[in-house]
Amino acid sequence: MAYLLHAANVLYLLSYLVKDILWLRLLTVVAGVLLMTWALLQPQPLWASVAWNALFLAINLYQSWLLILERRPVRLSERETLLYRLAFRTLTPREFVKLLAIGRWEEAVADTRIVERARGLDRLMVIASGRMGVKVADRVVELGEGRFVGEMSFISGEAPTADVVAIDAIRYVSWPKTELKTFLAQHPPLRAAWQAVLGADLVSKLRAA
Amino acid sequence: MASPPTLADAVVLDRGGLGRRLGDLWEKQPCVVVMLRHFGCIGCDVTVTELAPRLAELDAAGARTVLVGNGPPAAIDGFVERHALGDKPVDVLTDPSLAAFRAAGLLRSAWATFGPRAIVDYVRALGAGFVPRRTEGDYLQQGGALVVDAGGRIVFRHVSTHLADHADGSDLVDAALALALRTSPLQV
Repeated sequence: MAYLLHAANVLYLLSYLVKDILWLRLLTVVAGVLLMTWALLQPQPLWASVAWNALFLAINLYQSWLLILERRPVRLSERETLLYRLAFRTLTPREFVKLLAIGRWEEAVADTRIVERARGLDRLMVIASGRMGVKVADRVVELGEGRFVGEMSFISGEAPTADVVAIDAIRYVSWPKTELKTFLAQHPPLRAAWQAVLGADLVSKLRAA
Repeated sequence: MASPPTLADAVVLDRGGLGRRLGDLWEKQPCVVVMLRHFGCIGCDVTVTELAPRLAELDAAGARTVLVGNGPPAAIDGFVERHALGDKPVDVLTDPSLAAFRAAGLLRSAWATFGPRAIVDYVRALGAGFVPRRTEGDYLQQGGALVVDAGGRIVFRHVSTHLADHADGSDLVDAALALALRTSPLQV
């Protein structure tokens, strides 16, 4: 039976040698199972050892599962891929998917008013296809695919100072402002990446204004 | 809140020891002032390492970024080289008199430097690969951050309460972007 103990310790040794955290955890899981088996097969089972190893096993299995989920390849649909390429290249595909999960795809026909001047805006949008127009005095500033709408009031908290209408039939992704802010506060690295995307769009708009 | 006159009038030194009024930095454009501790501080290494990738965003938002340490002016060059700040849109200055730190209401405390939070910060920084260096300035002085608009109004303020406590770069960028928006006639 001692071979179980030795095999477990060899696996622990191997786990200390690998650099990949997933392999480390998986090797530890197998080693833990061997160690628990060895402890159970003693003439007087070592229940304290079994209990502690069961706890370690559960934690390592759970963390391994999270790592596997995190490492799964991301598959984007055609429209998601297009939007990703248009506006979110600085995010990883997984970050992009996380963001999309709290947003909603929406469509509108031409001439629909998307944003009303002086009325609080509770969402942030990005154009996936078609064009929107920002009505400024006597002219209309066009916003095309990949451009954001509502990011200024998202940052400043102020009501929009212009109407925005759909020029063509449009498709866009819309995020509720409060949920988005909460989500970003919970994911600091994603917040930084998101801010870079939004900031670049905003700065280009300010320069164009 | 308006920046106190003592803050605007505080004199900070450049690498050559030349003094300049802090208020002059935000006379023409919004300014992000990150007050560091001494130049050898391990917590400041963490702060600057996290802030460095955001400097271009702050610059694009029209904000000038200034790091203010409290060591001798001669220590600035080494600090800039260590953090590869030479080609980045940031000025590194120093205030050995600590007048700007006092005017900004920042802490100077042994507890903040050696207390339990500071020890945790120190161990975390070591674990992340940062290396402690020789003290170059006042080791009891804590840091902080201010975002000041071109009119001298403080729109964001962070007072560090322990060694590596620092303002989140995203909060600084948010404040700078919000200031940039103020000048825009169009907000959607």
